[in-house]
Amino acid sequence: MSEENEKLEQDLAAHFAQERERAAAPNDLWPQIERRLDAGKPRSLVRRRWPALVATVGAAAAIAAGLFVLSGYLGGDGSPTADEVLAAAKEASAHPDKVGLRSYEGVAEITSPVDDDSEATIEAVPEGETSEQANTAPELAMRRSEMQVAFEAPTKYRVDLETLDPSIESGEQSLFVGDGTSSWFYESHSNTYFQKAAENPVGLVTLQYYLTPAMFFGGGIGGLIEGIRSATDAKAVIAAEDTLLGRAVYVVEISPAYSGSRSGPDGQEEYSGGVVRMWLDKEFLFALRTQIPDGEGGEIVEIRFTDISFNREIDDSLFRFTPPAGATEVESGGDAGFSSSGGSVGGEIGFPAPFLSLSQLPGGYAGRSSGTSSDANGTYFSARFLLVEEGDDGYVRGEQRIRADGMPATLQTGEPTSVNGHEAWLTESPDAINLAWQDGDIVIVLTSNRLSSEALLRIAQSMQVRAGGNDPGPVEVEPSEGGEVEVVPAEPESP
Amino acid sequence: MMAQTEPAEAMPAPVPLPAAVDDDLVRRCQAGDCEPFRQLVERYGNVMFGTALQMTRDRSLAEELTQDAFVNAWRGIGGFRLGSPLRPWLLRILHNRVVSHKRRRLLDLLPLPSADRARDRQPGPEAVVELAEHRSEMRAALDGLPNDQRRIVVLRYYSELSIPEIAQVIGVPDGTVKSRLHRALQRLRANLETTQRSDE
Repeated sequence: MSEENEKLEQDLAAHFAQERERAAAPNDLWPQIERRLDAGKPRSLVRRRWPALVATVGAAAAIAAGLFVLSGYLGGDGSPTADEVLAAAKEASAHPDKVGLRSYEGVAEITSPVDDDSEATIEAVPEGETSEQANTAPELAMRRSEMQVAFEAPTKYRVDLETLDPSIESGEQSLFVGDGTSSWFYESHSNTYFQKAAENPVGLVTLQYYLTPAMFFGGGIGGLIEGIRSATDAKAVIAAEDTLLGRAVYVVEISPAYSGSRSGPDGQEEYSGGVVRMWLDKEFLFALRTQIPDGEGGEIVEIRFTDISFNREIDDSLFRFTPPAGATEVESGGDAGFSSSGGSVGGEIGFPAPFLSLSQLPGGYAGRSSGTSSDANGTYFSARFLLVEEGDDGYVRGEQRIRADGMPATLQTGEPTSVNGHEAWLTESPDAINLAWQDGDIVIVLTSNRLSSEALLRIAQSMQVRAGGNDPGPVEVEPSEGGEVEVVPAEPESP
Repeated sequence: MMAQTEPAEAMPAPVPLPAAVDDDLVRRCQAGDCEPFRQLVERYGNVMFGTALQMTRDRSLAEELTQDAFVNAWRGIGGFRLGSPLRPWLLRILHNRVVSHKRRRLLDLLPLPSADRARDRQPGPEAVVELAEHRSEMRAALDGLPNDQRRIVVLRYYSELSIPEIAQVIGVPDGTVKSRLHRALQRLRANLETTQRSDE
């Protein structure tokens, strides 16, 4: 560390030491907080959203049955090995009745990297980068979601999924419901649903690319374990025995989590690494918390229950689906009826109408990917692009969705502003600025972790529907100075 | 007369480690007991409020956000994993609350409450005056940082979190914290130089 830095850090420490002395919490902090605390236990699912649907019935008998069966799975009195625990977990996830698990209801928080390439095609490699570098995911925001789940053996289930990340899907929900005879999949952004015959719900819920709620259902954990172990020849250990949500758990670590080969300076090279961690309930071998490295050791996808109850009676109405007002039933396809197609990237981002194309890029940024999504009939419903800062970790993400219902109320928060005469809102998430506005039936959200709100507004104001769709004019990009980003209008190309 | 001596072999009562104390308090909170939560508020109230104050520069807003953060912590304490450090967990809740506050961007522009400024200008010995001037310069330089950079500096040097703990609080990798902190210090130094030049 340079002397300058040391001196500055010392000055900061001294400054903040003085500030700490002056910043005693108010004397009435606790009385003020106490008034706002709910009586009884902290945060309960029963109180939060599904009141009066749950009653305690027969839990003790089920627990006793589960312990009895598990003692057989896990080899009696001695401590089980990790392999034994995983084998039992796999069996239990496929046949929960074998461990006495008849139902569960809970809330899980999911943290996962925002995967902009998931519905898009990588179209261009920024100049100066190798394809490997270009395909390495940039450092992106994490998406946080909350999932409320209920399951009753053998095939009744309900998953209510809400994204909390302030993106275009903020506050919107996906719903998966199975009543034992039929299964429904509903997404609020398109207000569409489809119905399938009752089946193992895993095939439905895995459609949500950014989550893996499938692991909460029959076969999910088993499939995950099987997939990792067969793909990487992973070894498992019991890293700890702990308590989570008041329940005894095994903390099982499986590594390596991924393996493969890639081009290196000396030709093709093998790589592997990462650790999958599971906090498995000792009684039901249920994954109360799971961490999975994303790809080659990038961000970790985490699914963590914050509330769970087992073997309580669940009101049957929870497993029935009633289409929301105006919802359209679509034909179920092998791939959920959704398909993706790429846009164009390479100094500009073009999209077919009615989506807005981007003809001005911030200085120092290059297009990484873009794409559109359409339903089974070929009707577009979303478009997105990703710009990344050359040589740094900045990004600009754009998402557009067709929304006949207009701008969701959840996006109409923050600082009001305007984009080309349309009302717009600027908000900040922990590490990014979001700009949201509506143009016709399109709701657009731009997100950046580096650009100022002014720079984001300039990009927004440059976005227009282009008659040519994928053929916007050329764009001249000027490197910025001092971290300020300049947006440069495109000049007409000489014939 | 009462005996004043203790047996030679007697040891002082063991002082519980802070983490163990936290775990015990949290465990009781998870059972629905409010009293241990009051103790947690007493233990962490100052750092939570001070951090909020440094981030918002507004005393009443800092009070409000600190209250909110503790209330959210109470609601979410059932999911707290015993054995984990509590301080970064609480500061993460506070940080999220600060960032998500709708009026934050406007309030960031407001000056410090006049009472604080008046206190800074109180006359005193030369050393105190110099210190106050220096603090004022540093505060101005900090105010000139972008919001995300200022929050990282506050978490590092005011809340005294480690790099991994800051990463946990704001939800980014360690390397990102380091690079942002580096950029923040560069900018802070430039701000200080500008302030000092304008004073000369």
